[in-house]
Amino acid sequence: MRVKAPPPAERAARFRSGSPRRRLIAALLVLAVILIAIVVRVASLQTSEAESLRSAGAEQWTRSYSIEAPRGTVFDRHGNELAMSVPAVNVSINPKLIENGPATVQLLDDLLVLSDEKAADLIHEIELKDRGFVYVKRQADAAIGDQISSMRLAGVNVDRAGRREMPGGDTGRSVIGRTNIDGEGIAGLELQYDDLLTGSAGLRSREVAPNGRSIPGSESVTQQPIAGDDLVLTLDRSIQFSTEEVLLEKVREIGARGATAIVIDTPTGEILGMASVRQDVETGEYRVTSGNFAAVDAYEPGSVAKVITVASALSEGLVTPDTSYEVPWRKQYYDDLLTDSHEHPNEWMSVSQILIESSNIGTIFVQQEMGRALHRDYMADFGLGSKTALDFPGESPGILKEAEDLWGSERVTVAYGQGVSSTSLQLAGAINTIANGGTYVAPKLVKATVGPDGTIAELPVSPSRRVVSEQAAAQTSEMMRNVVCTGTATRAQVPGQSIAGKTGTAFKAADNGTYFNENGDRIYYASFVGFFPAEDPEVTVLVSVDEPPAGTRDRFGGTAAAPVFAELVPTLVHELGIQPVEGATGCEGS
Amino acid sequence: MVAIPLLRDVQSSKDSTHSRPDLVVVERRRRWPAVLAGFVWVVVFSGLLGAAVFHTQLAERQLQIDRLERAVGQQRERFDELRYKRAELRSPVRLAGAAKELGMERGPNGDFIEIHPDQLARQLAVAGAVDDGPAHVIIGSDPLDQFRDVKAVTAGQP
Repeated sequence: MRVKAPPPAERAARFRSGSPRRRLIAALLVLAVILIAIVVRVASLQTSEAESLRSAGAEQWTRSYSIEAPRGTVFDRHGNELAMSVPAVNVSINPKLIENGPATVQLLDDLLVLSDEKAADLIHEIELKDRGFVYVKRQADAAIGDQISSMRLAGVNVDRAGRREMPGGDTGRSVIGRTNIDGEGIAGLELQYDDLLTGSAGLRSREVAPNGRSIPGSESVTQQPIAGDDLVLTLDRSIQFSTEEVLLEKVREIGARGATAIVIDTPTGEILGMASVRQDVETGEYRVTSGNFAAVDAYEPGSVAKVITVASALSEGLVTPDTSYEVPWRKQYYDDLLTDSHEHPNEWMSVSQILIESSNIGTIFVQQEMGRALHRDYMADFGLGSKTALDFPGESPGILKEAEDLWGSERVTVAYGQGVSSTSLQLAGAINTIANGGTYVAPKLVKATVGPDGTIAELPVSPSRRVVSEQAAAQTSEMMRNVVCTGTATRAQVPGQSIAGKTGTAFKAADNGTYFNENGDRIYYASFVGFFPAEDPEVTVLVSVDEPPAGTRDRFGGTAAAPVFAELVPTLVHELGIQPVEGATGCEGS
Repeated sequence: MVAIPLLRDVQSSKDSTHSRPDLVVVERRRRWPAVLAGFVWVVVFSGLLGAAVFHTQLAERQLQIDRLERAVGQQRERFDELRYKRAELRSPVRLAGAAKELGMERGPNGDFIEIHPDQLARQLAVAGAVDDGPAHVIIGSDPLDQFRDVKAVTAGQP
């Protein structure tokens, strides 16, 4: 059969609407539109939506971990480390990813020496598979951590973390304080300077597979941690250690409850040593406390406060060292019959004698020359009744009532340190004023800080103020020298050294509101504060013994505290290189 | 056998003879686009190859940096460990314990003695310089200075 092609005109009409050229153009346009749409979408994904998509994606396949910043080191004044962070690791598990629970726990137990209870807990957690994170051990040795890490155990994580250590044992613990397991300061300077010592944490990211396992080699530090600042204290490690040792020795010897001591560099107010020891109630052992009782505990200063009364009256020109009073051994004031420490006939005593023999009644006579208000102002100027510049955590301001608030015999007993309370720190600062020629220098504990770049920033010098005249300070100092040579503090003598000091034996208020304990015994607080060389003082030391045994001769400041001072002097002489003033003979010839 | 052409074929043969265009000399085809394309291809290929090599080098260097950073971190940790051990060894607690084991006791008193200049010179030669005062002999390795040097280098980063 013959096939007949349509005539050309008909063919042209049939294909007019779809000529190849037009079809191509149409297809190109469609493709171009699609392509433009794709390009626009891609551009949108790459620009405006890029960040959110990137982070959403990253969230799916990466895990971020905080990198602990190394906590700053605490140095003594000579750059010796008192507290520092050493490399350690936190070992944790993800129970959901652990493949062989008992075997893994056994392995971790062998390396980390876990308690039976902890091991059982871990096995239980692995069986439950409820939680995604359980600590195995915190602050474990870094070497063991590396060992565990190298095993690449499924579900076991090893993270770097610092561990706070004191390389000198308990030396300085009372001042430095403590940190908790998270490395946060919870006591002492660790608490006070926590913000400074804590650096800025860093950030590390790690890519993970869909099953949650880390992809090896994918770890990267996205934000570097910055180490905390370091503290350079005014403490001298050797002096601090010796101070703690002599205190421990004494309280063990006499069976006191505890003791505190402060060593101050006289001209600068820098604290070279500040120790606090106490008997553990449960074990009966004596140890350095993590509480700084020298700054926290306030007690009646007792006879040490007589120095303030006498120096103030001398400075006002109301008395001279030779001004004399006829002093009875007891006298009625308001509702109370106040007495000296021992019975004596009425006798004429000079102001010097009053201080040397520590007469309560004589000191009241001196205070009455000034009047209560002026006396109170002087006590405040000496630093009583307000916190020191240290502003130590938990520091007590003590109690110093306004003159008009004093009640009954308190109005006069404040002259010899009853009816007023102060911390050892305040009292040491007050007596340091006499040693420093009448100028009060605020105590200082932090000398400098070291920044992240290693630069040292010295802290400003301690603020100071004149409290009594130089002459009054010198006269009081001379009297205090005689206290050591011929008065109540002869046990503070050290051959070849001229020492000035004052004892104090105060009654301590018990929890029952009286000065007696449950056995009916008086509770004492024995103190001695001294400085040397008396001619040109370089160091001031206060020693306080808390609750020395009531029934023995060790209950007095002269017997409990003064010997500790004498014991400490050779160390101070050696460590500070204090040479006797030329021509000084100590108490020889006194 | 003789082929007898059909009438229509004869006719078309005559038409084609008459409509054949004149022969002309065709110009030689230009080669520069091909050369350009080749050049572009080489450039693009080289660029891509270079980028690949560059990225490989970059990744390799990054790995090297990571390794070095890890090594620095490990050395820093080692420094802290050694610093701790030194502080422990120098601590008065340890020294007092060791002295006690040797039967030594704290002296009841201290005294100052005259040092012969020769002895002082020998001591200085061994231990370092003296400070302003005549009583102190300083050993020339201040832990704080060493620590600060390391901290300055690492800019506080562990």
